[in-house]
Amino acid sequence: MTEQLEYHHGQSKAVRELLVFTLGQEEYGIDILKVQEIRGYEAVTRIANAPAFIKGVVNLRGSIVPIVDMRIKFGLGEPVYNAFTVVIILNIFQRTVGMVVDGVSDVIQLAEDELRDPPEFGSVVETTYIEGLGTQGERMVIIVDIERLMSSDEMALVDITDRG
Amino acid sequence: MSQFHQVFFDETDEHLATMESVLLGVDLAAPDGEDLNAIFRAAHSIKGGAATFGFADLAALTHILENLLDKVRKGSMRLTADMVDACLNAKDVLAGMLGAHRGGEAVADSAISAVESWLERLVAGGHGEAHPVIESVPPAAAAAACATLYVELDCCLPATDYQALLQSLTALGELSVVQEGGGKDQLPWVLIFTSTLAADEVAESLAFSISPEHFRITQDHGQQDEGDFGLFLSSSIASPTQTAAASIAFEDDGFGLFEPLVPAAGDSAPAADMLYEEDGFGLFAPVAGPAAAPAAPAMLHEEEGFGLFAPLEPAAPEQAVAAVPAAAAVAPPRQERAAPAVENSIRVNIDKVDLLLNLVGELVITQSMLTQSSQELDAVQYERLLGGISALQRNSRELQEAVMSIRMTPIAFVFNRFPRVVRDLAGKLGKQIELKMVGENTELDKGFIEKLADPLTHLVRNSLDHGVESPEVRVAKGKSAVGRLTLRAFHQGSSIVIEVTDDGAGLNRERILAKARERGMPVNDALSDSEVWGLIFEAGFSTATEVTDVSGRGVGMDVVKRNIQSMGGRIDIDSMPDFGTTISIRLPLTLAIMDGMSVRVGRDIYVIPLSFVLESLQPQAQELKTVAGRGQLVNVRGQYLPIVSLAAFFGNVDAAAASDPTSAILVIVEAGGYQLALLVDELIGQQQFVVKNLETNYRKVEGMSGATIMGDGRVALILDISIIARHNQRPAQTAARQAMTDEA
Repeated sequence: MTEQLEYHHGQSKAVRELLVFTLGQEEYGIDILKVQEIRGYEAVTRIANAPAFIKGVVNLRGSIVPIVDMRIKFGLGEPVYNAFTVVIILNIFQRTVGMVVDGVSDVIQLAEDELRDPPEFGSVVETTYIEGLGTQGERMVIIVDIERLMSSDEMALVDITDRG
Repeated sequence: MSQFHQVFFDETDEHLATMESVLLGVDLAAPDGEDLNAIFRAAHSIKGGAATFGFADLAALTHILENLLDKVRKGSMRLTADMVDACLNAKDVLAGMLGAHRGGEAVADSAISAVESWLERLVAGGHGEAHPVIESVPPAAAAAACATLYVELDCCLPATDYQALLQSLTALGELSVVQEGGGKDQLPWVLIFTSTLAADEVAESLAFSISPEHFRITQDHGQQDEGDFGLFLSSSIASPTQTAAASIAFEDDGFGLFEPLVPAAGDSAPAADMLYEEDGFGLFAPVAGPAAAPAAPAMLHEEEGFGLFAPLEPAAPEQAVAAVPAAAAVAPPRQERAAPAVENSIRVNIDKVDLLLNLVGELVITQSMLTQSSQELDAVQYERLLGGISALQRNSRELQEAVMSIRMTPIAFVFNRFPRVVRDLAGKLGKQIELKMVGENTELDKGFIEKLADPLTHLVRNSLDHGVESPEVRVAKGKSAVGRLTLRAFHQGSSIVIEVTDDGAGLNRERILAKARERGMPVNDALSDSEVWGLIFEAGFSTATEVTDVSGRGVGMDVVKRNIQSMGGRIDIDSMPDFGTTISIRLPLTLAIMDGMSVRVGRDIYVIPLSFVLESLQPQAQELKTVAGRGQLVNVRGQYLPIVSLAAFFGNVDAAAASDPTSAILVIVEAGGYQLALLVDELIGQQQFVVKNLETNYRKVEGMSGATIMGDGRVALILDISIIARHNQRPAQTAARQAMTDEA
């Protein structure tokens, strides 16, 4: 992660830029460099026998991209699909994956001293995928290692054994 | 420099392959002169390239090889079987060295020195008869000799980084800039370049940065006009008189030497052939221009010996000046000459072709999207638009075919290695084999060519080792002592079929079953032949009684099958005791685009590859039967086929068809010799689909072979019929078979 840290002029503190999205009442932050774009939800092609949180695949300018609904995966928020449903297109481990969330709130910059160690519990996301907590005043953002989460076995996005 | 290495590797691969195929085909009793020349040329080209790029080991070995071949070629030694073996051996070692330079495993020094001494022994065997001059001069010295070239570059070309170009030349040799290009007069760059490279090599290097019509290279051939002159200049310090003499000669007719020959060599192959009959030998002379090997020796051979030594001399400055205009003058004919001499092809990075293919794929999608939307338009009102769309459809289809054909390569590229494999193996196993190859010109996707080599080699080795019997056994069985192995390739529908057929003992059903039991596989005697044959594809399965270094270790057939399947193909075995075995590999012609039928199941659209579809029909109630209250069958002209509901297969509850087949459509498909009827709600249409890989961003989906983008921009999944068929077969199989499949 260190290579993605940025240094601000006149300030020696490392700053991380995070895209913040909401799932239910909770706010999650992911490394903004992993985000390719943010789109509205469009009709997906369902994939037979896939877990419920994998909504299916869509055509993103010629490539076939799977769409994951984090609301279903973590049982948060209402899985409704309308004009306001947001899909974050991620670019991780040389793949493109779409992620449905309740909403995207903003982009924040987090200084080193605003970072806290991950909690032992208290999140629907398994703590192994949580890098830490970001605090800005009253606000708390759960920082997720999205790459690790998306490549995990439980997301079932990648073949567990990638044999030829 | 290293960016050229790949090109050198590729070319050397080709040269080695040529060398091998010619060596194998050569008639020992009456070798064809052209064949011998071809082998020699291949060795020579490798040596030249290797010396240029600093692969001293390759150059050293090819040098000895070349010595031997040169003698044979000139008739001062007779070609013997031992020589062919030695040359083949050398070829293998060279291939190994090449692999090592590519980052592979290094070749054992002992192997190298063994083949070197073998070759040297052979060379020495003919000593005394050959031309002493050639014998005494190590051509390595010639290769290391310096040549001075005049290079003229057109200036102000867009996208040309002259400084980088000059730097890259500096890395190759000594460079001085006579005239800087550019400025308002648009002057060309004029450079003097001294290096060990021949002009054609420099030209090739330059051609990477600048297209050939924008640069000219001339050799300093001031000393080349008199036969033995160059011979004495090897000290490389020319006395003033010699320089003067050279200059004069150069102005007189030194140049003329080149000009009349230039068109002659380039005009036609016969011209080159004619010159060949004489003792071509300016082999080490850095011939100007990107001349192909055939033309080069022919041009210079008239002056016996000079080409060998002439380039030693660095140019005197005054010659340089004199030669610059001359360089420009000679340039146009040289380019004409080069064009027909080289094979009419270009080397393109495969990524570029793939990109092109992808873009064409996108174009086809867009075009079918347009076609689909235009169908709602009024034909009269939008006549011109509709006409344009149909023209677009035709053009894009043709464009697609043209682009696809770029990737198509004759299967001969794979087949060509087998004469050698068979020859070596037959010798090792003490068997007599006659190899027959049919349909080598059948074309298939280049991507397959590379992946096919290993599985096919494995099958051929297997056939030779296990299939074909030893001569005694064959004679005892009343067969001819010589076993036959046939490699056959042909197109069938939209697939290519590759067969490996031997007339050997055939697979032994009992032994395979016994072996399966021994390994604890639950099998029984009721299995059909094809099921038994299928067992040999299980991992770790080998019925060979003893392990040889040829085969029998039980790794292989499962890998072969996996490789073939990963290419979207399948492999079938047909075997008869004592008549032989045929293993056929069936591959799609290309993976990128296929014809398919789109069907609707509930709300979802699926694509069935057309190659699997036999027919579709709407069943009548009386044609439907149930078996044991569970499975449904349909009677198609007397044949009862199992019905597979795609809705049930994919767990689609909203498909209407699930309940009533008579209101739906049955698509009869065939996979692996097994027919079944797929129950779908509706047929939508038949069209070409660009196949997209699901695994690029997602993972493999059971029962799906990929995805495609429909005319409306939505994604449709492509069914993997063979998987669906296998799924359906499963419950019908014996419990034993089921347990085994699960285990596998």
